[in-house]
Amino acid sequence: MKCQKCQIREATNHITEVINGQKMELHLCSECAAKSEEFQSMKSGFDFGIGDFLGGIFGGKQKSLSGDNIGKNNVCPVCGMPFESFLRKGRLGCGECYSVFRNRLERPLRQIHGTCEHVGKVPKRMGDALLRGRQLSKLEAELNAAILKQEFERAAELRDQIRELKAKEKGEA
Amino acid sequence: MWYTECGKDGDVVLSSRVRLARNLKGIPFPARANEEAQNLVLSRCREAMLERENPWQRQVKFIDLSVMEPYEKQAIAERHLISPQMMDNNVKRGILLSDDNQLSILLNEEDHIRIQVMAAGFDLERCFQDANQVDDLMEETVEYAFDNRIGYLTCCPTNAGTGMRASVMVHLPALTLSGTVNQVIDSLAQLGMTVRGIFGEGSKAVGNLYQISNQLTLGATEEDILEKFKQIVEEVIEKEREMRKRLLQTQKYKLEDRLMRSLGILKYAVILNSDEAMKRLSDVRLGIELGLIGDITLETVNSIIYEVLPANIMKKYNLSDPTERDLKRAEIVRERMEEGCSKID
Repeated sequence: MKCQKCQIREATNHITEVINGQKMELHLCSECAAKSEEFQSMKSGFDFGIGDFLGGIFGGKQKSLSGDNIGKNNVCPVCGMPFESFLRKGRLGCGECYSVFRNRLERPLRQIHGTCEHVGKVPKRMGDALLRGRQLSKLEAELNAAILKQEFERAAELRDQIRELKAKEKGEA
Repeated sequence: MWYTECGKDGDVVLSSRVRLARNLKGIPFPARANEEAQNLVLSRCREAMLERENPWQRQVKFIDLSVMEPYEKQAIAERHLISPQMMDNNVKRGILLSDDNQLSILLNEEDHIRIQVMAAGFDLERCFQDANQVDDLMEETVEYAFDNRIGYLTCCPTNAGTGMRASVMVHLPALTLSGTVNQVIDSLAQLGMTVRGIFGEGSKAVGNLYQISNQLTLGATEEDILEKFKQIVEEVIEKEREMRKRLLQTQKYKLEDRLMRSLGILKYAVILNSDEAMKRLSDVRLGIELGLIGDITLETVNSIIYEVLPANIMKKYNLSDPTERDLKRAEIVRERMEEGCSKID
């Protein structure tokens, strides 16, 4: 079918309007459709920005591993943002939202970034303790690996390092 | 100023930028904060940068955007010192801007704080170093919203983690002319990079200028993200240079004719709209980069680009009528072209 407006290109957009029982059909090519009033009014109110797509990802299959009721915790107690608003706009209301909606955010964060573990910069004021924690868990993982591989010399070395780090932590506390 | 200078790899890369997104702990993000909280963000950040002894203190000034006219805001947006999103008056916004315009801390944009450092040419290290230093400095006074696992918390989860976005503004006339630029854009997208027009989200590429930036902000260190980004940009630079060489080899006269015609128009035109000016300036820039045009420098072209954008003309000459602006634009370009030529002779 040819486009009703330009009569040249193939019609790929079809719109049916019923006004007062009168049915009206419109068949347009994509170029004419983009310009036509009918399609403009159809598109108005739609957001094609990133928020909309994010909402799609984040709102997707809501799965709760811990089995908690997704119906509760629907509003952030700090900023008052309902989770639905995030699904619509793709924007969070405050830093606390990340804790409140943690279960529902981690999975989509993985979908965007491939991970949800931050390994970069850490604010200095909470930095020391945090960095030490990170180092500790890395050493412990290495220790377990060494034991599994029966590399006991290496394991002993690692054990000493862990002890030292823990002693430092106690000393500061 | 960084936006007129010609830095490292200046034949392709006009400027580099690193931006860190940060938020204050316990205060809702700007869109959900009430006016009192919005003002609190402004005053805390002013305090952090201006009221304590620090290396930036003397060269940084606070600019209150809520008292500015729309065209004045657009004029600074055209220089990339604020983002187009900061034009509205729904939120109390401001910037902390350094005298050399390299550091611009956007307050109450989408996030409370966006530390932005710009430099001429391909120089992401310097940008990151400075941004990092300012970040440390601010953090001495304010407490950031930070999560042990997720990292720095931002209004849009696509920025969470490092909160770091690196970007370069590049001139890609040969890749555009040869029609290969879309392929490059697709490949970059697959590598986690975004390519946009020079005025960011939703803007079209005018004058063959594109902005490339990293998409992922979580899961890698700032250094690793920058390193990967740099390698990819280097690749783009090489591809553009290679394509320029090929264009010159295969269609020298056709290309030269086109570039020279553009030079002629810029030198003698009486009416110039902004789109045409950008297009012709891109041609002249390519002519200089290929060594076909010798009497004008890249610095001259850079400075013209920023001088002739609509709001900048409006601000400087108080012209609200587009036709008058097109006349003024042509006049400015003619003058600069002449000055540029005589300076070199």
